[in-house]
Amino acid sequence: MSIDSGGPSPKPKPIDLWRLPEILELRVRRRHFEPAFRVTTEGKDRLVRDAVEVEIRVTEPFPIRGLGPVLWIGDEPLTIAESDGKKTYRFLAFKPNALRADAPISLSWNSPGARRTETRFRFAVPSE
Amino acid sequence: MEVPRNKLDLRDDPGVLSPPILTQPLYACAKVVNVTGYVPGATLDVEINGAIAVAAFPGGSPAPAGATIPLPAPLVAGQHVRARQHHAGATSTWTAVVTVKDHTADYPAGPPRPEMFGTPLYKCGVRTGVQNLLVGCDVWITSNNTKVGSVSGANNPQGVNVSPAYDTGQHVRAWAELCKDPSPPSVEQIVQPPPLPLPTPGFDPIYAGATQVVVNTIVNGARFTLSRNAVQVGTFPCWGGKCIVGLNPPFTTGEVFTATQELCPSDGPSNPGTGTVQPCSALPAPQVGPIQDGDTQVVITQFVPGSEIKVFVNNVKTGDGSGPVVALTAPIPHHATVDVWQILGTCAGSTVQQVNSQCVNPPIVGDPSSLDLFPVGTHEYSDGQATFDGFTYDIRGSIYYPAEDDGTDQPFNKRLAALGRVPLVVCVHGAHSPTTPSYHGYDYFQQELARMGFIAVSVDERQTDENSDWAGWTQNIVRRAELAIASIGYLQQLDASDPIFQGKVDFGHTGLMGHSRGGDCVIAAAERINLPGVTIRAVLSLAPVNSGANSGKPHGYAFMTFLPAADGDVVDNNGAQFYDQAPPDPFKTQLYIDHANHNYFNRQWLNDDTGGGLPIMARPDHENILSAYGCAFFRNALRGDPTFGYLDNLLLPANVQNQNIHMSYDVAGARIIDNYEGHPITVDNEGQATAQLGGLTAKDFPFAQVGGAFNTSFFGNTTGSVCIAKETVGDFREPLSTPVDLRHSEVRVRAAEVYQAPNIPPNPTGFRVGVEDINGTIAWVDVNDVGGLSRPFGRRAFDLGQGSADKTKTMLSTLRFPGSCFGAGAKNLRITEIHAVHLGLNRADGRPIAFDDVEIVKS
Repeated sequence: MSIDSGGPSPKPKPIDLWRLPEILELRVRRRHFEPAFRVTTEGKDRLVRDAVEVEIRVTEPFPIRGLGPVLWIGDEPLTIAESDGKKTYRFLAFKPNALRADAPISLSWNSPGARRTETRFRFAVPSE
Repeated sequence: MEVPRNKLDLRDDPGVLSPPILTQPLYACAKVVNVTGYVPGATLDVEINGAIAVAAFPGGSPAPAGATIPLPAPLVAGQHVRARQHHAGATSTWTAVVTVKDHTADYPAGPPRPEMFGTPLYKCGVRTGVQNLLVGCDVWITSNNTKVGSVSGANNPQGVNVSPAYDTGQHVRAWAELCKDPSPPSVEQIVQPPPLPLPTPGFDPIYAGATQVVVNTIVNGARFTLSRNAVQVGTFPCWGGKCIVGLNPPFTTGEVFTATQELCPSDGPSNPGTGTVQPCSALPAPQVGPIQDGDTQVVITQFVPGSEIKVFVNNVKTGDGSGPVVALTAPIPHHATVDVWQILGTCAGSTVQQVNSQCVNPPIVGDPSSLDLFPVGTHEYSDGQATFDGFTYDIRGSIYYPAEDDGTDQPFNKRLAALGRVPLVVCVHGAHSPTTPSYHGYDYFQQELARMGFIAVSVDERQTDENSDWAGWTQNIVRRAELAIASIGYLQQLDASDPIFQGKVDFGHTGLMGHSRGGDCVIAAAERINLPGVTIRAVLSLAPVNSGANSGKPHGYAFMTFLPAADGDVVDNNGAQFYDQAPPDPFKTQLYIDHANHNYFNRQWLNDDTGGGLPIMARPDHENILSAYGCAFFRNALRGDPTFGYLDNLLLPANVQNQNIHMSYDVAGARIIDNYEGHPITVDNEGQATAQLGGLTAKDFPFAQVGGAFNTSFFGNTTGSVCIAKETVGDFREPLSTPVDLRHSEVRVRAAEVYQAPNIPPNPTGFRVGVEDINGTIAWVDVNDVGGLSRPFGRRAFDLGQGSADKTKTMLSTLRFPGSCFGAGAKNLRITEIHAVHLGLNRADGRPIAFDDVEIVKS
């Protein structure tokens, strides 16, 4: 009988939770929601009809984990996003006045002090 | 610390003999009682209602399970029973009186289900262990529905010899009965072929002077043949693992024991294993469990079976019995030195185990997850859909419930159902790959809850893990909450008309457990749920994020959170924010867990989220923490079980890496001396003027990730005080508006060693708490006398390597300072009239200490 050389069982492939994709394309537009979009703050819902949307197409999807990604417009964090389930994410700003023209755009994970990855994009105020 | 006995002046008073341990509770109809903790060879008396019922019963060896003493007549409810021992001319005091109860007082749905061990069972096996029994019951084993072995008047555990021997493929179960009241059957075992070749038996260390030998590595149900110096002494059936055999005369150094084992004669015996008797000088000191002031017994965690254990308190003999528990003749006084000595037959150990009692050192007692009453049925549901924010979800999940028998869609347990509806626990997983069945990851926890009488549901929320949904962050977590609520709504439909669940669910006692995003979601669910008849009474938030999906202030229920210190995903331990903001309603508990990661509480989440970057406990250690503390939490909060002691650090559960757990806890009704909220540091919560003495400076800071914090190591959501002593002895004095009697109360303080990046000093720091009476007398108790100040869990290198900020935390934990400890520390202290509490920094190391929630709580 031949002898199996054995060997350890393969371990689960390590997942780099902190990996951030690169932004390939970025578009900013105004967005009107019909029906209204629900926004929750400190457990309270409100309905919002207008927002600024920052749509990004990235090199790969964000890894699914507990924390979520943040798209920074300068120092204004955008945390709520929609996705096509693939590589396009639309981050929503419900306080457009907080967004500064020409602010640098960066990505990070939603944790204080998390490293922000700068991108080549800057924020342009969308037309009305 | 192991100390040579001849260096000590131990007064071995032969007249001191411990009362034995009478195994409790005692139930009516029991035909035996079990007595442990006596000196080997002692005789035992059992008294019932003031008359000796059994006199001078020969106890023999107390190993492995004490003496099972037949009674002249079965016990009757209301009888008063006690026991004592005689040895070498001495007689112990009686044990405390135990009143016999009807077992239905504790087990209204009948005796608990027996558990067979060791399993699997093998062909030709002739003995099986059965545990989870009520002492004195009848137990029997069936194979293919035919009784093959029984014991009337069983101990717990109890070995049952079976005849004929098992055969491959047979279906075997154990059963028990007390007062003609049958238990559910044990889990069914199917007999397996023998594991050939059989392993060689081994021996536990054997010492000269002993009269018992422990043979190990015995296959489940095998017989082993033992020889002493090549002379066969007998063949013994064994349930598996270890088996103990008593022999005479006592062993002498160099004697050789040999053992072989056998299952089926046609397969022949194993190779022989040998054990050689070691000299008496090799006998080690025993190991002991935690000892705290006031203890009336000592738990022996390691000892040689069959040995006599003597306990000396401040050199005075205070106990003489045997492991695992030795009762003492007097309570342990404050700051006592306790020496524990092991004597094995004619061999007296040359060393003793010496420990100092502490003011607070909780005992390790039981496992709140081990209550095993019922078979467990499982039911997968998938029925209907719900739509939120344009996302449509299937309502799916798994239900574990107490059943008539184990298996899928078994009928609900009839006897339990006859007693009323059953509390509900709903589990919600967090974000993970949507192809991973995350909701099955808590099956072990569901199983444990169901077997003790809960309905435990885990909601399948994988559809919320799809990237398109997950990216919504706060809104994703709100939808997770709504999907969980939809599942509870579906359970109400089942409760209305389902053949299994109709009328079974007590929605008025609902608990929620959520993990990661699920931990945030369950707090949101409790705030959003509006289903008629549903009352959330307990929420366990395990490693939660804090997205804003809820108010951030868990309220209206008992709250518990787990914070894995080595969390590689939710690195901010956001559950601390929830704990800080939760009112004790009626209580809250936080576990900050060193060496715990994010994923290993869920069996389906296979990867270590630290990627090997931090030292973490094994997966079963994570699961044991959720099992023990989660079961203690829901049992107490939903059903009123007496498991609260595990939630405020009065008791520690067995089978848990307790040294890694740092608890905070708070209860309603505590007298808050100072929580540093809403007033300057110069006054306390009672409006009294505080004082900073001895060069100590105290200042309020937000204990949060905000500007103005002392430094960036605080991750909660509260305000506290940071004290620094510039001189050797600094003191922060907090007066009370009215004096307090501390005889039956304790001072509680939340405190932490402040982490100051980048280094964690090698040595711990600390502080002391003082209480001052109306005469100005101050008595101090050091934090090291109540468990010590927790060290920061260092993770700086890991976090920086991930591109993150340093997430090493200043995480406060609650420390208890019982009034009795202050009273013992200063003879002139008027403990009945304390009018100030002091926080004293006396380490002269200049290191800052964080404080919060200085309280008086009734003990």
